[in-house]
Amino acid sequence: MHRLSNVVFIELIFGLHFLDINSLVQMVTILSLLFTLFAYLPVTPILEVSVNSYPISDPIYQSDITNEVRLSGRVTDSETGNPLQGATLYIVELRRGTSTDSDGFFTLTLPTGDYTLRIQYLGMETLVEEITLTSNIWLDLELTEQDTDLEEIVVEGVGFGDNIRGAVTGVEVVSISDLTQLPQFMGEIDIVQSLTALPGVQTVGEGASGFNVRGGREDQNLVLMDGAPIFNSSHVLGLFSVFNPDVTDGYALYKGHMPERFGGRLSSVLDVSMRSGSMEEFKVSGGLGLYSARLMIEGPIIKEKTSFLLSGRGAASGVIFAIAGKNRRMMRISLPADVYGSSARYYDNNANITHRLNQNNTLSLSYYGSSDFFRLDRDFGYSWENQIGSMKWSSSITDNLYSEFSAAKNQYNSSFFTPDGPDAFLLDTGIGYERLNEHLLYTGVGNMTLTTGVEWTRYKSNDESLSAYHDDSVIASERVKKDSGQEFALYIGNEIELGSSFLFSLGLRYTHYDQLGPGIVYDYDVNQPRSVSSVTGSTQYSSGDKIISYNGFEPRISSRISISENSSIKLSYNRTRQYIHQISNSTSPTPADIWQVSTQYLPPQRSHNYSFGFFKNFADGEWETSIDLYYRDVDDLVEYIDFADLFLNNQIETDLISAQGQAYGSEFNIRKKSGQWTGWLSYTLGRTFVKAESDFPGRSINRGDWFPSNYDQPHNFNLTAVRSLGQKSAFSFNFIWRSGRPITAISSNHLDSGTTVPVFSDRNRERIPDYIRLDLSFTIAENIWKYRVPNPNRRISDSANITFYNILGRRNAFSMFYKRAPGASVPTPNRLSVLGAVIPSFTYNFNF
Amino acid sequence: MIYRLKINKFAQAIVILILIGFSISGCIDEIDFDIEREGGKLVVSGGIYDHEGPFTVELALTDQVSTIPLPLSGADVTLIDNNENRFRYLETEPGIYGIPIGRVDGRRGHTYHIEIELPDGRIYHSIPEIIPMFNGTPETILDPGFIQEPSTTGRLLEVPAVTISANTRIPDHTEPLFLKWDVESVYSFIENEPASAAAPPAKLCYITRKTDTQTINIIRTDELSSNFIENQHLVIKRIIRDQFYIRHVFGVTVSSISEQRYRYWENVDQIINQSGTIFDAPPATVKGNVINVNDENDFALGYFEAAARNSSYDFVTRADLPVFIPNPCPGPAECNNCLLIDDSSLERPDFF
Repeated sequence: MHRLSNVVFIELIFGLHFLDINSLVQMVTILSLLFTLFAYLPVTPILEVSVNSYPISDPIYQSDITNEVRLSGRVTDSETGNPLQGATLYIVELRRGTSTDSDGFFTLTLPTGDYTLRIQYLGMETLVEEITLTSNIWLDLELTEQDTDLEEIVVEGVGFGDNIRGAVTGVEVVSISDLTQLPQFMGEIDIVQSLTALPGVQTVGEGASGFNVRGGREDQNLVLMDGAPIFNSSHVLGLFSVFNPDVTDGYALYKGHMPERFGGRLSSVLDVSMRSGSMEEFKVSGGLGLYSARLMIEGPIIKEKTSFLLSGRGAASGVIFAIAGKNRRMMRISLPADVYGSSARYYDNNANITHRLNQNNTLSLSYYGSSDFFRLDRDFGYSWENQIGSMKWSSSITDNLYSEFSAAKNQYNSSFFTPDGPDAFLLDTGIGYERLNEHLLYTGVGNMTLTTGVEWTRYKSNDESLSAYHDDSVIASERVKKDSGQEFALYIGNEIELGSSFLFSLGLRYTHYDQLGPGIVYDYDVNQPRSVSSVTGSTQYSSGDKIISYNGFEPRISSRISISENSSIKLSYNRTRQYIHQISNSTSPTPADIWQVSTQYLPPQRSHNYSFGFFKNFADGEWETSIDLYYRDVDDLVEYIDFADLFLNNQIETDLISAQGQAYGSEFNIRKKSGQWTGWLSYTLGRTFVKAESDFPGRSINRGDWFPSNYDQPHNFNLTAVRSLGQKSAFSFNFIWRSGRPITAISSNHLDSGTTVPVFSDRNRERIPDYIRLDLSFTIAENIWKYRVPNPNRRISDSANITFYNILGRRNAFSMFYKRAPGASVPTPNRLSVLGAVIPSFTYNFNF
Repeated sequence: MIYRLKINKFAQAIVILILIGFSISGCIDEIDFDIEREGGKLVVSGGIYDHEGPFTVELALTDQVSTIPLPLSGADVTLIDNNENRFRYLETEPGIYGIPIGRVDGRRGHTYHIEIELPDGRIYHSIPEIIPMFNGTPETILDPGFIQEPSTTGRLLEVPAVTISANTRIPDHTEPLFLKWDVESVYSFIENEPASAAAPPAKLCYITRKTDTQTINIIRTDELSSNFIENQHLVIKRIIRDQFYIRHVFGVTVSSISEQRYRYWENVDQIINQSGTIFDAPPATVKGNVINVNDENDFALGYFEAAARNSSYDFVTRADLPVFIPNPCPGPAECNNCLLIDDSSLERPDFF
């Protein structure tokens, strides 16, 4: 199977002109189907007959077996052609429905008959279609943008009823429209900030990069921008995310069950879908706020055939600090000197060209580029830049068969520098990848949705490079070779509905990884801890040599069992493997952390993930409730010995220690989806632990006992509510309370050569105080400009958002650390609050 | 022009709003936080250097109540060299054990370690260290002037200070050297003249202190591209009038230490300069080189080092300073008995 798929994959990429693509794709689909059946299900006579005896698209097939037929199709934005993820389809007469997946696809199995189909998506006109079902049918549905104002908010676009009917546990689907009326930190709609309001998602605090899902580390989240993984999802050290809201459609966060098409990370998938330009007309949109500004231009190059989209966004505190520094006497305000000398700025831009080759084929080219700079006075600084180029070819080969081929290339470079002193230095690191993926979806067999695909990714780390920051620095240049590797994945899956009560999502992913040369592998004395002095020999590998390989199967199983029309339970089991690791020994990852591929001494992290959920809706789905239980164990988690030396270390394995991880918890969620008040209340009770044990003295952490991870925050409560004020205006608030994260505290001090040296307790034995925050937000969407300057020829639509972040002004501790006051003999505990006051923001948004 | 003025006003208003927002938002404040402590852990501090002594070792035990270890009396401490010669330390003060001058001549290239037997029977020894054969040669540079320091309210203040730097020449040598710089200052202080002629004459005291011991200046020479480190900033000493009235000597000492001692200081530097931000690595207790002979997981706190040392001195008088230094003795008790000043002595250092 492996070999055959390799052949198919290669032919798909290189031989498209010489092959009958439809035959090829159907062959792969049938093979995939067979694989699924043999792998997971006892082969029932019905299923055997369905494959072998009937044409795949034979409409008679279903009606012969049952009275049910399949309604499937795709929902797209009429203007851009983008698939709409999370659009709701509702059969009025049967009070049944579903929602679209990340590619806009949906499938419903229904009795034959005449029905009214209602399709909804927030921000789009509701579409109502009268349909007659006598056999399997496919519908291509296009929704148009909503012009009229809503009197009340209807958040049915977010998987209305899907929490009960879907097979996937622990998935959150959110469109960017859902976020417009929520509190906006620093005036920006921010995907990563919004994630932290969801149950099971946390951060270690303001200013921290990344997020933690169900006790997972930040690098265990697969963050995809239109299918292309990104290594750093943050700007300005975590205050903004890399996703420009103007060009973002929405996202799906898979925190429980990870569908088989996703892999390479243990904990979760954040699949963010980006927009294409309008095929109909030119548009300009943007926003101007106190902290940042953005602008987007889109429109047709060839009307209804080819579109473009260009956007840019940025913020520059450097300008502000420079003005402040220049005029600080006049302004009569005074800040610490390092504030004036500090600087933070970023920009990012997106570009997209989408071309409809014909009715069934669309080609899309995208580019994302960003640059960040941060400097703390003359002490130190970071800079990093990210570039992603990607291509996606979407093809509806038949009514039942959909193909998506994508290719992506990414380069992430980062620098850490100290600009002052005789040892001023610049340290450059980075990583890049090339990636190819072919994904097929087939809906032509019974009550099944079949998926299959192949994926290849090659990672290449930049050499670490140390150089003098300026001519007077005495730092000698140094370069450390870094590793590269490739990951190949083959996956297959089947979502099958058995009657109205059982829905199974059965998937299998096989991954194979090679560490590639050039490189040197050191041998160590097994009777000593790995160190420079315990090397017994080494082996040199040439470019392209396979140094070590790992592989394994990853079953992805999820099921839904309906208890009634309004309640269900779901179970899932996932096996995941991760071949690339962020080597980070700080509280939260930093932009300059090294991404390290698996090596002989750094095997892939592997986890078993279990999830169980009970879901119940009330009042015709207006109220959704759920309880999710989860458990995860992780093998070969990367942990660090005390005072690990991670940079410019060509034997990094000497500072790492293999650890075990464990996370478990429960999530309670109540969501109100329609009416004047909407929102959700969630509470997560979860723990996450690490155990790092070594056979050698002094190498174990906390004597090899289990200890809480840096982001172990047992209690996490969130209340988010939106009150419609009519005309798309709204008032909203967001309240968060969560436990303080663990820290390592000083227990005593001693003197050594006059220096006070602190003595610390066990790692992460203590906790900082709890985190509590309330945000308020007002969104005014009454076409402000239009009323001020009436001009019937200009169709300007605008809105404004005012947010008061942390309205309680609470000084939430980001961390606790020790410093010695002048004249004091011992250091005392201090609390660092990153955003310890009310942060007001105002943003004016427009589009025309 | 009016347009520009308006823009400027607007920009300033925005800037003020943002700065006020940030200035009151990000903050560091002291909090109460106490934890359970582990008592009874041995603390060792001392070393042997390339001279004839005296040499001291300080011993203490951590305490479950006190945040500072308590001196340990009654231990048996012995220095052992590579020829198995044994030199016993004598307890001179509670917790301080010494070998007088002339008993041991620390020699470069020789190996030393200590053995400690505690009153409760526990026995520790240090991992042997060699006094390095080579060391850097420092030259002290003093620069009196003003520095900017933020006040408690954040306002920038200009304060008089002496900046101490050093030029250091490193010998040509293939093996890397591990160097540490320390600064000590010595100033003299003369008491008020006695009121009556019958009283003893006014004493002249010398006050010796290490300067800014929380700043760790270390370098490994294999990271350098040159054998000459020029104008390396070490510490800043604020000008306090009673310390600068007569002569204030600054001494820069370069110690050539072992690689393990270098890593020890590197780790200490990491934990005493934590800022509480995401850049901080998880702190941990720094392990030294003194281990319980019966339990290899029982590391004593602190270190016993063997190092080579070179020093250089320079001084300033009040004539060199950018500020007027009045007579510092209007009447406090120390002005009538200078031995009341901490770290004072009547013995004049050789270099003064």
